[in-house]
Amino acid sequence: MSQAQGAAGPTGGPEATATALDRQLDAAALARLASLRLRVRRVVDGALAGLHRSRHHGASVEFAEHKEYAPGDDLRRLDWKALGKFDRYYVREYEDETELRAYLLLDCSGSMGYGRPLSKLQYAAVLAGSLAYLLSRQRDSPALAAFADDVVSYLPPRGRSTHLAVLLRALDALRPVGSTDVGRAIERLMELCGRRAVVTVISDMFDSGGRGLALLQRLRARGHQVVLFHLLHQDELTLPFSQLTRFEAMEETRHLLVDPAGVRQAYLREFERFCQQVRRACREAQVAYRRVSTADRLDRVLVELLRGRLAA
Amino acid sequence: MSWLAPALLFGTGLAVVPLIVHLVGRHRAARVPFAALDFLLRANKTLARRLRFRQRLLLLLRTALVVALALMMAKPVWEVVSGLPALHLGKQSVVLIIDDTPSMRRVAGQVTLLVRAKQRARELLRTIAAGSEVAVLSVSDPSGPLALLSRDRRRAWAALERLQPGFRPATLAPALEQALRLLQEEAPVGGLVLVLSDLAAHGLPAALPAWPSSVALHPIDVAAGLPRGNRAVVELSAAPSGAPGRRSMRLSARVCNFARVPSRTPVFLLIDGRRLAQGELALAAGGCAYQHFQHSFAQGGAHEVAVALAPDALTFDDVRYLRVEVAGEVRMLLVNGDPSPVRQRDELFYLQAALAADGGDRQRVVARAVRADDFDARQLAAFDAVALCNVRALAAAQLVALQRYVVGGGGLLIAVGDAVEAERYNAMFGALLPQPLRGVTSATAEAASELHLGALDAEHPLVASLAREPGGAGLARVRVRRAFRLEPSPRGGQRAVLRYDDGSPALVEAPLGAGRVLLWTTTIDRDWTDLPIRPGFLPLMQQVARYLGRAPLAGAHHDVTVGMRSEVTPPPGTTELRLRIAPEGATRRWGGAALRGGRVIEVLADQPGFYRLSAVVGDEVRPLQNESFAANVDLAESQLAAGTLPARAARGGATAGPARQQIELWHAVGLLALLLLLGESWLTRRG
Repeated sequence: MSQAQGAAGPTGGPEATATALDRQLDAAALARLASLRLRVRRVVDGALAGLHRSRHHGASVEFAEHKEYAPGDDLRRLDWKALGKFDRYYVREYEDETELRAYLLLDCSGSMGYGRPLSKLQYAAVLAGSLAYLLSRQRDSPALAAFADDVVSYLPPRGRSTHLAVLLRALDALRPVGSTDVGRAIERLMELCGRRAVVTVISDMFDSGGRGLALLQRLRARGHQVVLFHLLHQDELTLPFSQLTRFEAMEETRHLLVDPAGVRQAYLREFERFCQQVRRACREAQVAYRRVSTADRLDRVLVELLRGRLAA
Repeated sequence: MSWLAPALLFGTGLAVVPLIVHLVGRHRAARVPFAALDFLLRANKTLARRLRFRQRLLLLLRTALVVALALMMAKPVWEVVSGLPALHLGKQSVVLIIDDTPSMRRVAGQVTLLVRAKQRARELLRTIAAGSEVAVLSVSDPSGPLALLSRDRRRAWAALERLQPGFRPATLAPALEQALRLLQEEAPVGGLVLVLSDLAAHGLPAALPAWPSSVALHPIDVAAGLPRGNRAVVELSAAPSGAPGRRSMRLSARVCNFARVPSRTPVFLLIDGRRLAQGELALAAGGCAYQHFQHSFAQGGAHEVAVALAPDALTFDDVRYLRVEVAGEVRMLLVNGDPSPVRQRDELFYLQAALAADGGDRQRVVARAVRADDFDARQLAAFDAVALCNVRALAAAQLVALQRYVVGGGGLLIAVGDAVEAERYNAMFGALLPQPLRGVTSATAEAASELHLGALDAEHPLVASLAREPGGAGLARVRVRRAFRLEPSPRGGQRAVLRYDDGSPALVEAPLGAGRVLLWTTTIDRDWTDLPIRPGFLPLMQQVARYLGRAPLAGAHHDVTVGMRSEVTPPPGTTELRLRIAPEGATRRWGGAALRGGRVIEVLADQPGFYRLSAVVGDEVRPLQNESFAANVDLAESQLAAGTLPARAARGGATAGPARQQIELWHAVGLLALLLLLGESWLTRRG
C-alpha cells in the first residue's frame, strides 16, 4: 500500500494510484520479486487497497442460527426476543464464531509449469499464498494440498501465526511434475477434512482422469463451500504462435508439428468448449467459478473473491 | 517453342528451393512445450486432411511460382509459320495484288476470303520497312491501280479500304503484267510482287509472263487449309413441256458438285420471287446432275425464274437466274392491197395461213386482215404491228397516223407488188421506207435471170434461228422472179436482213423512232416468188410478226454474264430510264442528257440477278419487258480447285519463303506467376 501511494506521488489521484498498481501487480512485475512472500504481500496490499477504494467495507460477523441454551453458553448472546416469543432460551450463533478452515488445493502437475515470465504454477502459488495470508489475518486456518496425479504435499489447517510462513515456504518449494488427476486429490481431501470448510481449487483442469468435476459436486454436497480458480495461460487462450511449431506435451512425450495459423480457429473452438464444460459443471454443482488468465491482475481476482462476486 | 534467354532456364532448378525450405522448416520448427496439447491434437485431427492438402497446395504453388519466374525471365516465344512472306528489312518496292474475283467471296469462318486477304495485306503493310514504296492492284481491274507506287502508306491503306468484292471473273495474268510494268517504270532496281489470292486454278495463268530476275514473286494462299468443295447451279434452261397447254414449261437446272466427296442438296424453284417447288439432288464427288421442274405459267409474257441450292461457302453460284418468255399474243393488222375473190390469188392468202400456224412455245400471232380501202388508222393502237401488202396508196391522214404509230414503237412491214410504183411510193412512203425504191428487176422467163435468196444476217435476231438450220430452213432455194431494187438512203441505220444471191437486199430493216420498219422487196404472195410455198416462209413470217410486234423471238438471248453490257433503247418521250436489280435491290436511273436524242443506254451487268428496266414516259411508267434481262456469274469462278503459282526469288532481294512469326509468351507466363503469387498469398493469409 505504502509503495503504491509513494509511486503515485503527492499529486497522484486515484487513477494515478491505479496505474502504479497496474505496473507493480502485473505478471512481469511479480516475477521480478524473488520471494513468494513479497509477491503475496504486494498482491494482498493491492487487493486491500482496491477494497478500501470501494464502498464495500467487508464482511462482518454474520448471524447463522439459533441454538437452544445449554449450560456454559455465553449469557450475553441469549436472545431475549425469542424468549418472549417462544418462552424458551435460545442463544445466537454467528458464522465467524467458529474458526474457518480453508483448504487450498493447488494443481502442481506438469501442465502448470507452462508460461513465462510467471508460470501458471507460480501464479497459482501467489494466488494461494495471498489467500492464505488473508485467512491468517482473520485468524482462520488455511491448509494446503498440492497435487498432481495424487497429493504431493499437504499442510493441515493451523491457526498459528507461524503457519503462514510454513505454508508460503511449502508453496515456494512446489515444482511442476506429473499428470493431473483432480479427482484423486479431491478424494484424498474428503478423507482429510471432516468439518465443513472452504475448499479453493486452483488448477488448469487439464484432468486426464475426468472425474474432478464430478467430485467437486460431491464436495459441495458435503456442505463444503467450493471455489474453483480455473487457471489458464494467455497462450492457451489465444494460441498466438505463427511459425511452424513443434508443440510438445508437458506431462508426457507426445508432440505435434503444425502450422498454428492453420489450426487456430479449430483449437480455440475446442478450448472454449472445454472451458464452457467446466463452467457448466461448476454451475450445476453450485461451485463458485472464476476463469483466471495469467494476464489477469491477481489483486483484482482476490477482490472479486472477497466481494463474493465469483460465479456460483 | 524457343527461348530468347535460354541460359536463364537454369533458374527452373530453383524449383526445389520451396521443397527444401519446407523440409528444413520441419526440422527447424520451434519447439514449444504446450500444456493444452490435447486440444491442439483434437483440432488437428479434424483438420488433418485439409491441412495436408493446403500444405501440399502451398508447396505446389511456391514451386510453380519459382518455375514461372524462371520461365518468364528466359522469355519464351512460340514460333509459327506465318502466312506472310519473310520480307527483308531494307527499303523495297512492293506491289500488292489483291484477288477480288468472285471466288474470293467464299466465306471462311465469319469473313470472306477477300476480307482475309485485306487483313493479310494490312499485316504486310506493317511489316514492310519504312520508306518502301507500295502499290495496290486488284485482279479484276489491274489497269486502274488502287494505289500507285508511293511511300505514303496511307494510300495503300485507303486502297484496301475501298476494295470491294466483284462479280467479274478475271485471271491473274493481266495483274502480274501490270505489276511488272509498274516496277519496271518506277522501280528499275526491282522489287517484290505479293499476290493475295485463293489461287484457284481457273484464275491462274498457264505460264508466268517474262519475269525479270530483279523482281520477286510471292503468292499467298489466303484459302490455305480450307476445303475447296463447292456446289453450283451451272445451267438453267426452259423448254415447252409435253404437258397440255402452251404455257407449261419444263425448267431444268444442272447442278454440279466440285467437292471430292459426294453430297446432297435441296434444290428450290422460285418464280417471280416466290418459292414454288423443291427437290433434292444426290451429287457424286465431282459430278453433276439435273433437277427438272415442270410448271404451268398462269399468264403469258416474261417471268423471272431462279433455281437455288442450300447456301454453301460460296453463295453467288448457289442460285441461277433466267428470264422465261411464255407464249402470249402478237396482234397484227394485215392491209390487203390486192384482194381477190379467189382465195389462192388473194394477196394475203399465204401470209394469213403462215401467221395462223401454231407457234409452239412462242407467242401466237393473231392477224386481222382489212382491205386497203377499209384501213382506218385509228385502229392502229389495238395492234402491235401492221403489214402493208401491195398497197397502192394511203390517204395523207392515214399516212401521218401510221408514221406516228411507228415512231411511237409500232412495227411496220411493207411488202411490194404490182400495185406499187416506185416514184409514187417513194413520195408517199418516203418517211417510212428504209430505203427508196429504185425500180423492179426486169422480168424474164429465163431461169438464169431468176434471183434466189442468198445471205442471211445471222447476227440479226429475226433470222438468227433460221440461219442455224441447214440451208437457212429452205430459204436458199427460194426463187424470185421480180423484185424491187433499192436506192441508197441518206438516213442510215438500215440493215439488210436477207439478200438475194446477187447481193441486193431482199428484206431491209430500219428503225424509225421507237418503231421498226421492214421492207420486203418482192411480193408476199406467189406473184413474183415461190417463197410462200417454201418451208422457210412460215417461220420467217412468224419471226417477222414477232420482231415487229417486239415479241420474244426464237433464239433471242435475254441472259447475260456478269461483266457484259446490254444495250437498251428507251422509247421516244422517255424522261427517265429506271433499272432495278433483283433480288439485291439496287436501283439506277438515267435521265436528262443521257437520254437526249434517243441515245442507246449501255447497262453494265455488274452483279447477278434480274435487271428490270422501265421507262418513264410522261406520267406513265412502262416496264420494258423485252429490254429486261437476267445476269449470272461466269461459272469458271465456281471451280475452286487450287492451282500453282510458282514463287520467284529476286537476285539478292526479298526471299520468297514463308516467314516464321514469333509470338511472345513471357507476358502470359508473367501473368501466370502473378496469379500464383496471389494464390499463395491468399492461401497463406487464409491460414
